[in-house]
Amino acid sequence: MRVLKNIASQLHIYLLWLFLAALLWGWIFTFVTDTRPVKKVTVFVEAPACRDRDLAVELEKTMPEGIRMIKVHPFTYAMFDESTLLGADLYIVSASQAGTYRDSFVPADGLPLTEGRVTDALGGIRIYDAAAGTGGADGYITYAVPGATGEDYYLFFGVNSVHVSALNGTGDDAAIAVAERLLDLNEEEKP
Amino acid sequence: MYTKTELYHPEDPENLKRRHDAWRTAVWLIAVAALVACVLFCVFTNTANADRMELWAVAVFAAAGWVVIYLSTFTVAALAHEGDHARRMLAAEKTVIRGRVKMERETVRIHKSISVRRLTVTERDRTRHLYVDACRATALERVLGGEERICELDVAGGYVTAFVVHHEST
Repeated sequence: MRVLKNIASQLHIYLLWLFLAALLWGWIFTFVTDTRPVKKVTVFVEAPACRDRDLAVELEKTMPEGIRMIKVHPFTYAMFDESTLLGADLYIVSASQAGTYRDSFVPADGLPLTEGRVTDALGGIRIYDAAAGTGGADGYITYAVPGATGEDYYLFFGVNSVHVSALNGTGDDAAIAVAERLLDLNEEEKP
Repeated sequence: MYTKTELYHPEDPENLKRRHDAWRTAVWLIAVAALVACVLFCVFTNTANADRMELWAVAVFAAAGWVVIYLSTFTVAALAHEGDHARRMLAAEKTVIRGRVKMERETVRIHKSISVRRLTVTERDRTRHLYVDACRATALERVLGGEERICELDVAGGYVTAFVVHHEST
């Protein structure tokens, strides 16, 4: 009884402590779970749904040398910070939205990766074929809502990426390796 | 012959200091253990478990903080106040007051000091209020039995340090 009374007298302090704990560790984990752009490859996905964490874990199994982590985010992740979106290495975008973000892309023209694959006018590589209903990483990304008419999705390389030296002459080609993995992560490898 | 009951003993400050130091060490250990646990959560974080590790870190840090705050206020600080109070009472000069004594039921915590029970003492020509340390009030409460009884009180600074109860009802 006395203990409960004591706790009640300090309830406001306990609530404030909980708030500070959440704030502090949220901030710390932002640093712990992130690294410099040269050490990570970031993928933004503009699709109805995406199991971003599972996809990142899968891609990290075959991380290119020199890369510490792979981050996968839905476009809504960058709702309040556009710079995050503009600094991404790879984008998976629907055919209808590709034009909206064209200034963020560097065309993949001339890459060996494009051989045998469908590309679009903006230099993206088709990752999801709506007519066939199959695509890269479709075990992790929901490209088409069941019952709705789907559309093709394309994989683009970021113009500000430091991992596409074959396209913009900066950094390494880690993003190209991750792109190849995404394109080939198909039905047989569904979790 | 009525027996005088002393509420303060010469070994009290030493005992209280020992208990205070032990609890203060325990509080520090809890804080350090929580911090170490949270650091380990950071160390063992990866892409797959990052959200869970963050949740654990917040939960452990918050819970440990609550325990530390509670113990620091109601145990460590309380023991420190008790020790200071006991030292003051043992060193102070006592006066003897005789009258009808009744103890109030509520315990009152004095800010940055001890918890006390209030006594109403009715002497021949006046009524006054005295206090008894709540931790030491049980002995007096037991013999008063919730009633008003004639007592002889040793008093220092408004606090009762010893008492003799005369077993006559009013």
